[in-house]
Amino acid sequence: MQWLNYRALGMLIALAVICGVMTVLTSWRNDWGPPTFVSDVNLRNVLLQCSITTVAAAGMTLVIIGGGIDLSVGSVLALCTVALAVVARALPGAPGIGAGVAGCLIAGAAFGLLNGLLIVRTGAPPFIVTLGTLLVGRGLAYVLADGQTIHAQGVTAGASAPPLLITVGVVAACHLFLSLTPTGRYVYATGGSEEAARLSGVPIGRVRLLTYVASGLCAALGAVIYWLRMAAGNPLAQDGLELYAIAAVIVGGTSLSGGQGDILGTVIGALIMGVLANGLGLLTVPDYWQKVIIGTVIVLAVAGDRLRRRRAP
Amino acid sequence: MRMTLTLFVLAGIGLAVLGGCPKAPPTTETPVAVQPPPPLEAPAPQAAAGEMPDFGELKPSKPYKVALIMKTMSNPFFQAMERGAKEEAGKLGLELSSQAAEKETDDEKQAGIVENAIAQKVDAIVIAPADSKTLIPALLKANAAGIPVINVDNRIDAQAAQEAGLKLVTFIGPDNAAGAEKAARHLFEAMGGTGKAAMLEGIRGVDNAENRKRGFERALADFSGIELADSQSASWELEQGDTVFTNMLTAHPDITGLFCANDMMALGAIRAIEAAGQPGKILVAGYDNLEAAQEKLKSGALLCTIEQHPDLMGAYGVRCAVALLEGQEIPREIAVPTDLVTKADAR
Repeated sequence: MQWLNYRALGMLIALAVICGVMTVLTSWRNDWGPPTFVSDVNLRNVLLQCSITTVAAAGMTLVIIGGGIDLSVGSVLALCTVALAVVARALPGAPGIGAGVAGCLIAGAAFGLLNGLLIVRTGAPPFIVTLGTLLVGRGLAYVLADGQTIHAQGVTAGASAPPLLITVGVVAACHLFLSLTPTGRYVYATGGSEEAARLSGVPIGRVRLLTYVASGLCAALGAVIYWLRMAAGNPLAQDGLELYAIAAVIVGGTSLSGGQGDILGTVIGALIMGVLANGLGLLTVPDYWQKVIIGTVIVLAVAGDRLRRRRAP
Repeated sequence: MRMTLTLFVLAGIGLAVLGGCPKAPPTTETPVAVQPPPPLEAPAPQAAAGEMPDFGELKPSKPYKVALIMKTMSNPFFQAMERGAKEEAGKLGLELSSQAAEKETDDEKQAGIVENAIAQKVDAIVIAPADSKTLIPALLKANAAGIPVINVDNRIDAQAAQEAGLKLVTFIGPDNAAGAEKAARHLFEAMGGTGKAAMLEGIRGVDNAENRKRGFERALADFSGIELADSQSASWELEQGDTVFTNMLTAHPDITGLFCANDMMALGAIRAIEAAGQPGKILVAGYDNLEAAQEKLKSGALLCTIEQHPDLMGAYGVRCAVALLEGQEIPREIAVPTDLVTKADAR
């Protein structure tokens, strides 16, 4: 725990440094006028723009701490946006949206359950199972949407409060679950040493199942955010989300081999990537270079952390 | 095992984040040579209704900040658009920032770029939207901030915009149906007005894909000797063009003419024709006049394509933005001319 705090502090400092650099650079770009980066509008934009990654990464954190991995989140999210849009289209008005959100959450949880059951019951590696369901989910999204973006009728999207509330809610729920509940502690135990956990009576199968359902639900909530932002269901949505979510989790200090990590680190990890993407965008750094820079930061963050831990007594 | 898994995943993240998405748009083989863009007034063979108005000699009263927001930079079409816009911005002494999402289909990323442009307090936004409806919420924020929005290339759905109360200054785009009709007519004439023809469509439901299909069908209706064998979507992609047309050829070996809604799919289809050992037997018409298509035009593997002057769209967008900011009247719609490009015009 001591180490965790020390590490979280390090990541926070890294985030603060990146924010500082962006503030200076955006001020410089305005001929040393007010920095665009710290304007109200932009700070809200940063949070909005990394809300989907954060929500997916929160679910991913549970899965990874529990010793698994979920590559299907981007596809599940796309499938859920389509499910929401299809239901909302069939039932016009507010009930349609309510039913759509319900359908979206059910689809996400069901897909998570499917992932979990396949992994727990067959003992197949999570990497392979979720790689398969990644394709299945994306394919089903295309099928359900008939290959097209489904637009919501007569819905005004774009308000920033609901996506942010969902994000904060998911983060808080996952954090409280991991740090306060016995089941949360079982997740750490299962990921740390499955054998030891089993011997001490942890229902590891059910715990792992739960983490995948949580991840599916988080993807579904990400789909709700997508829908709130774009007013559409899109089978192409968030292709590659899984990689950014995993990156946020790892940059945030959760170990890929399971058993350790926390949600707050993941939030910092997602913010670091979100701030970089937003700031580089404000500076109109070409997209190709944005990828180079963000990728470099991910590698440096993880490598730096490994080296420091190796040197630590 | 865990170590291997760790390495595998990290390698995957590294590759994806550094090297681009696994399904990167298949445009890697297109070295874009710098082409001198034609002067603004040059390609105006026929005086179309919504032609570029003459704003006179524009002299901006200050160096306006204009944001050009495109779908992706890995498509030569948008590279040409940026080139045209940059050149015009240079002439007018503007500060132009051009940005795009990494993937053509990533509408949410593009919405983020719009939000960033608003935060930067640009004077005008010129946007080629990734989707004809989903960008509306983001553009409404620009409206709310009092930033005028000029729509280029892919048209924002008029009905959806009206419902949402979105105000767009103008739409500057190619006449996709007219361009496709031009290419299809040339193809059918080259086929001698008889035989089986097929079409590779873009992503269904997207405005320009639907309009190109409409243009193709218009031409088809005028040629009674041409029979339509098959028409399928190959999602604008090189690889898909190859795969889909390979399958079409298997089902209909007697196809003698093919219209592709973009050059990328045409290049894929040409690959399929070569792989099937039938080069020269099937005439292929494309759309977009890509750099990568020039060699195929010269060799005759590609019969013709359509130039829709993305550079002019970029340049017109910038010009309209300045004219508007200087208080001039802007027409609701401006059509950029399309040209039929054949072997003789290959660059």
